[in-house]
Amino acid sequence: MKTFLRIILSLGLFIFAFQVSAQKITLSGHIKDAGNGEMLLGVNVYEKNTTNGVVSNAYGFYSLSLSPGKHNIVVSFIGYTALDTVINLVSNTTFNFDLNEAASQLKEVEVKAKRASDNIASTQMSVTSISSKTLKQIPVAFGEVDVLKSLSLLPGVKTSDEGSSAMSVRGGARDQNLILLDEATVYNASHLGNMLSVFNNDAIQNVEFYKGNLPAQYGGRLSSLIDIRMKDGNKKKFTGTGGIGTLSSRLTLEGPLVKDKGSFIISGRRAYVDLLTKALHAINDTIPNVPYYFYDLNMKANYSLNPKNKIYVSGYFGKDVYEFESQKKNFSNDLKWGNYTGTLRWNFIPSAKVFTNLTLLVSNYNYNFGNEFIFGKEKKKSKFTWNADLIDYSSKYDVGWYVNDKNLLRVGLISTYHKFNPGKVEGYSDTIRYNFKNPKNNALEHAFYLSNEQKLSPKLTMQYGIRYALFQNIGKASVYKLNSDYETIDTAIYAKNKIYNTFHSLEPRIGLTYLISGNSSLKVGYSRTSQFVHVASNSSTGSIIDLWIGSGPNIKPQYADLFSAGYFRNLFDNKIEASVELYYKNMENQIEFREFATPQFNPRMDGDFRKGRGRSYGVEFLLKKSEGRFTGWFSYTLSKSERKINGIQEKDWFLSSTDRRHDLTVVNMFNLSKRISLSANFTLKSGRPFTSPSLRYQYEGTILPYYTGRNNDQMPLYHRLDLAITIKGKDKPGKWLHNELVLSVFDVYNRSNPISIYFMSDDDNEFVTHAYRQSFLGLTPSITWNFNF
Amino acid sequence: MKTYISIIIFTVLMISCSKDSKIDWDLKPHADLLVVESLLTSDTANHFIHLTLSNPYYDSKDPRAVSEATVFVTEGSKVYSFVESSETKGLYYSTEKFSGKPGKTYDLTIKLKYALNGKDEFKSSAKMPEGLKIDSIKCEIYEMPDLEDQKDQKEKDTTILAVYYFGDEPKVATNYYLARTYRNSQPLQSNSKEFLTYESHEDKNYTHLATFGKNVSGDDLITFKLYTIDRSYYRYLEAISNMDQTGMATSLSGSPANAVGNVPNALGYFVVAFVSKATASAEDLR
Repeated sequence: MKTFLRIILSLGLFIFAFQVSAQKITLSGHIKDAGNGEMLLGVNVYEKNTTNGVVSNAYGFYSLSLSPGKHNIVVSFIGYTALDTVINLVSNTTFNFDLNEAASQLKEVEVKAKRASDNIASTQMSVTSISSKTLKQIPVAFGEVDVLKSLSLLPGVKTSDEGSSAMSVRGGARDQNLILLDEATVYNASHLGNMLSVFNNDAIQNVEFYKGNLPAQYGGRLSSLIDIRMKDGNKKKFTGTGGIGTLSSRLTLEGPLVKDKGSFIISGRRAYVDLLTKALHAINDTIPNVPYYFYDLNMKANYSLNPKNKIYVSGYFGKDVYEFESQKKNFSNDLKWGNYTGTLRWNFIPSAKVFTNLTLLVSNYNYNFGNEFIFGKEKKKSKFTWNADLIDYSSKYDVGWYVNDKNLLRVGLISTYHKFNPGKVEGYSDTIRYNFKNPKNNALEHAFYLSNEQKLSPKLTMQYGIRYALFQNIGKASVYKLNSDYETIDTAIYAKNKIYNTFHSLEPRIGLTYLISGNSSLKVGYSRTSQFVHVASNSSTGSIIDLWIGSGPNIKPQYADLFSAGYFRNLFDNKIEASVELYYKNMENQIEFREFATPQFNPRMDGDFRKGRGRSYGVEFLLKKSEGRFTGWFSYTLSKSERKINGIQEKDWFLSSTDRRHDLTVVNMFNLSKRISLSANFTLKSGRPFTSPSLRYQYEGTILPYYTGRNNDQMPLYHRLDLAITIKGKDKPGKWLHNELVLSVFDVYNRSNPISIYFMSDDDNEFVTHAYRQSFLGLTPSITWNFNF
Repeated sequence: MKTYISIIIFTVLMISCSKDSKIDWDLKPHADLLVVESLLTSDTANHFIHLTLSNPYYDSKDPRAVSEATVFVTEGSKVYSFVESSETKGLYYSTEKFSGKPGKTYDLTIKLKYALNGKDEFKSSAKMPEGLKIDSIKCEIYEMPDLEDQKDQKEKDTTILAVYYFGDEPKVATNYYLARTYRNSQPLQSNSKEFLTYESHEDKNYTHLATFGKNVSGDDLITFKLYTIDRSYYRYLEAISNMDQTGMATSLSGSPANAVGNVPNALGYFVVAFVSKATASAEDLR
């Protein structure tokens, strides 16, 4: 009945989209950066002194319905000089705009025509857009620009540990964030055991971050969307950028394939922990030699076949490598893990009102571990290999129809074939062979969506949509049947290509914006999301050996309902954006492992899952200044996140591991002069919960702890200050190489916030136990030299 | 396998430049709980029940014995009484030698002289599983690889003891085992964290292998004891082995939690297990 009502409600709303309006003609086209020809997304195109306007889509396309006659059109985008043009429209017109980057941020950039309602009027709530330029200015550990770490400075976003890229958004789990790179899912977005994200900032054009209220075109994760778009490449001339940092170096080359028609970009990065520690170990042998490095490569090319057809191809390939050999060379270890993604897109504009995009995608995460041990007089061999991977093949078709000046309709379809291989272990020790594997799990995931962004009146705008998702497990597969005690009682075998299990999900999404005045608005939203793929891990921080698995007979899909409301107001002539957002999120079928289960090497993993509920609620305050010499934001979040899982020791609701009741962040960037800029961020938040013991007892010679409950204790208050200064080299006319030096200091006053508190026995007396705090990094200065030509 | 996982953790820790410092940290208090240790096997023996009390977590004193309790085990209409040892307080032995029988259920009753947290009677029940009977064993010694992660260990294990044991497994879906070894009658595993436990599903082979990282030599006489245990006790030992040296859960085993026994309102475990053993000289193949 609830599903039926959802359908009726959703379809009823769309009828309004087709109400006939007065005769209009269409102004459409693309918006580009005048300097390098890159398409600009999120640009405002509107008729001056009216509420009639649109925002350019992810490919820089816009379409605006207007009456015939003269119109004062304004095109504005942060960091660019606004255009203010009078256009006389007599018929449907294609008009491409080229925006010039604002020459200097030393003076307040005059964006005279900047529409006050950019953030006020938008129907989308809980979304933040960050450009690669902003990311570059935020100080981070090791001086490595990191998109995920920068997002963690936004309200509603928590990380479990110091230095970790694993995020919890509005109380969600770390696997509930959909991370897309040019629309391809990135399953494990971290290098260096979660310390650095895999995204090379030099290859990124823009990041859109939705921490809730996902538009209907996105789904498959409960909590958030991180939509990262790679640069297209410079269409005007051949250029390069690069840098040499404390941990890694990078180089990016880009240029036109055919001037103004097509371009390419290729960007590579390599870390040199191995080379660095080897050199330091040679000087001082107490410094460990760590044979570890990572590398990644981003590539993209695009070509305009004609004004209506454009092709993009892009890809990412990254790997972490650890290769160890014992001094006696009788033991070796080989660990490799990484992602690759591929995207092929075809933009087709059949009319001035319709934009279509066909996308083919591939995403993979894999790890391959192995070791070899030679033993005995006869040099017998013991060998072990462990391989796991996940690969997705997807096709996607999206249509944006600018129906009239009041409606923007979006419709689309996506199909994905998931191949999960959660792990296969093979090995032998002399003559004894062994092998076991977690059952493979293949699945099809489809989704259809329909949404509309509708101006109901000059003050009231609504975005509503429906997403229907379907998930099907397909053979060949072996599925364990479990009893109520999670014991395997039988195994069902399914033939190849047989669909043996299906889940459906109908997901309404709705957002309403009411303009109170020219500079303030009220917004409310509701969204339902579902998730069919999950990380099978009992670590809250993420791990290189995370297993991704699909839903199935023993693992139900996760669902979430998010209710949110917000008040948005611009202050001081739109120089400062202020907002307060409230949310409540209910999550069903949250999965956890039973206590002490190990996901790895566990062929009976299904029997170790337990499921339950999650709930989180909070209020988020944000003050943001995006223009001028002084930019940045201040945010404060008051929130609570809890879980209740059936079949684990803790029978009651408990705080989730990423819960931090109070969270305050200040991010400041200041252009001191043309050549020098300063940036600082300060974070102050409640310590996260952890589990501490109350009693100890002895069993068969082992001292064991007794806990009164999960997450029954709280770490000390967390606070940290990071600083960075960027000094640009002197620019002279004719100089081809431009460079800058970035000096950054992570944890300036060496707070060394604890990542864990643990208890350890005295070396001399195991009955004497002390508490220890484990911290990470502390005061860490770093230096990076960046260049471009 | 665990060594392998340790290497991965070690790698990540090395890279992450973590540092540790001693702190004062107040813990939430809790009333003392009864701790039960017991082992009732298929061997004909005077089986034991050991009763102690828990201590506050930072308390460095030895566990306190629970004396003057009434302890007995019943199986059907048979009642086996246990009396406290005159030498070791809190240790109760059965007054008669008896052997547990596979398939039979044994009920434990403990009545304390003084109530603990309002309770003076504790009960538990366990069924002895069908077990693997060892026909013979073969023991081999190999050199331990020089692993970086053993650098900080006080006593480095230099050899690997491989025990091949031969015998038919019970024909049930899953068997659970606990293996212990003895060198010249002295236990090689000093505590329950070092016990080797494993579960066996469909593979009902006759030849099995258990390996131990221990210092042994070619002259040693090795005794191998294999206990066939139930799933619940296997999970209890799994919990202990997945805790680090202080009982905290390791980074790969999730949030810290208790090892949950089978004596309600008490800690510890009433163990009923089928046991089989064999002895052989170790062959040094280094």
